[in-house]
Amino acid sequence: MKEFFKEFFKFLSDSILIICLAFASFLFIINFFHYREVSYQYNTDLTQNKLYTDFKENLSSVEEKMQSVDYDNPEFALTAKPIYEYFNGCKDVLENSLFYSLDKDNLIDDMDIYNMNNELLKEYNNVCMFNISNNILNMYNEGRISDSFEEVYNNIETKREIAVMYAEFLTKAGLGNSAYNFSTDTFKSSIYNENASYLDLTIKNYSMIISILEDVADWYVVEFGGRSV
Amino acid sequence: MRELLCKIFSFLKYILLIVSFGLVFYGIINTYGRLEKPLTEAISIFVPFGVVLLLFLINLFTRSKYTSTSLLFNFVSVFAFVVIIIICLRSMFDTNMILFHRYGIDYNPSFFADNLSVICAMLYMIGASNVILLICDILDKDKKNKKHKNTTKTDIKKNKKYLNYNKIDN
Repeated sequence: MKEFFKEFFKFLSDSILIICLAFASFLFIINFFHYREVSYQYNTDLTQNKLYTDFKENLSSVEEKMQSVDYDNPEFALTAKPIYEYFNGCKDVLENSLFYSLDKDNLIDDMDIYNMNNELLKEYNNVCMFNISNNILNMYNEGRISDSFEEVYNNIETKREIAVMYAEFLTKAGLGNSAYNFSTDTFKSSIYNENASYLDLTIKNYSMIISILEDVADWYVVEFGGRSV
Repeated sequence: MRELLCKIFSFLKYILLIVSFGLVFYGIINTYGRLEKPLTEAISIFVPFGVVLLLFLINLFTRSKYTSTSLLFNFVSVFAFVVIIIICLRSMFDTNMILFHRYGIDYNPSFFADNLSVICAMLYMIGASNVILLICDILDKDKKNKKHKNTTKTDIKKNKKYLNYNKIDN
């Protein structure tokens, strides 16, 4: 009888140990795979990405439009000139951003995408998207609000909300790369490369900033006279 | 070869238990410190370490045969502690995870906390297995004691017979 119990307990102990070994093996393997996934760098040539190259070209064309207005004219000292200064501030910040210099390096990782969207939320949301349109509205008191800018302002606000919503989504998604289900195409069994997908969305988000600046520039040249092309 | 491996793993498991406990303790201090929670709330995480340490000490002092000669038990213990150490080290040093940078404490408490439940489960399983092997040891010792008593009785009987033979010869 005792022999039977001894054998039974030994069998029970081995069973528990095999389950523990399965847990430990699973954790070991998944940590190895997860380490490879989070250290993945997406290799892409952004100079061949149309949306990215359009961002820089459109920023230059917006600058040309803004500069075509005679903002040094004393009549425009309290209107066109400050608006041009706000635009200049935004342009300087954008040209020094991580996004602007992204094409220098072909390797992009999760940290870059997180930082770009974080910058958009904390800096460009204020300096470029909110500040310019809000300051233009406050520049004119209620009796002198230009109807044409009110329409532009509504359009700008919609685009700003979309850009902020996507930037918030991308920063939260970036924080989720600590989870074991984060996947890229490191191992071909996964079909969804989160890194590549988030980069595309980030480029579209920054294109939204340029779209807002284009709307402001188009209104600016109509209001104060300048070249619209 | 098997005995050598058993001895190596048997020795390693004590060292790795202490190292893994130290790293988990460090992780708990960082995690609970950031949330400003008292360490007493983390007792449920330290209990399995205490249980395993106690059982290992019992193994050592009782010179348990089953735990010291079981290659599976020693190997699984070492492997489980190695995995715990890997998880703690990744929480401390893997800067590719964005949450590592987010809180400004150079530590990823979220990744660490996600794995705590599995760590505790593995430790409880090692403890349960150890208890069962100790029971086997006790059963084995009972059997040995009975066998020893039976052999001494037969020895006395044999001796008596021998003495009787000697008397007859004389």
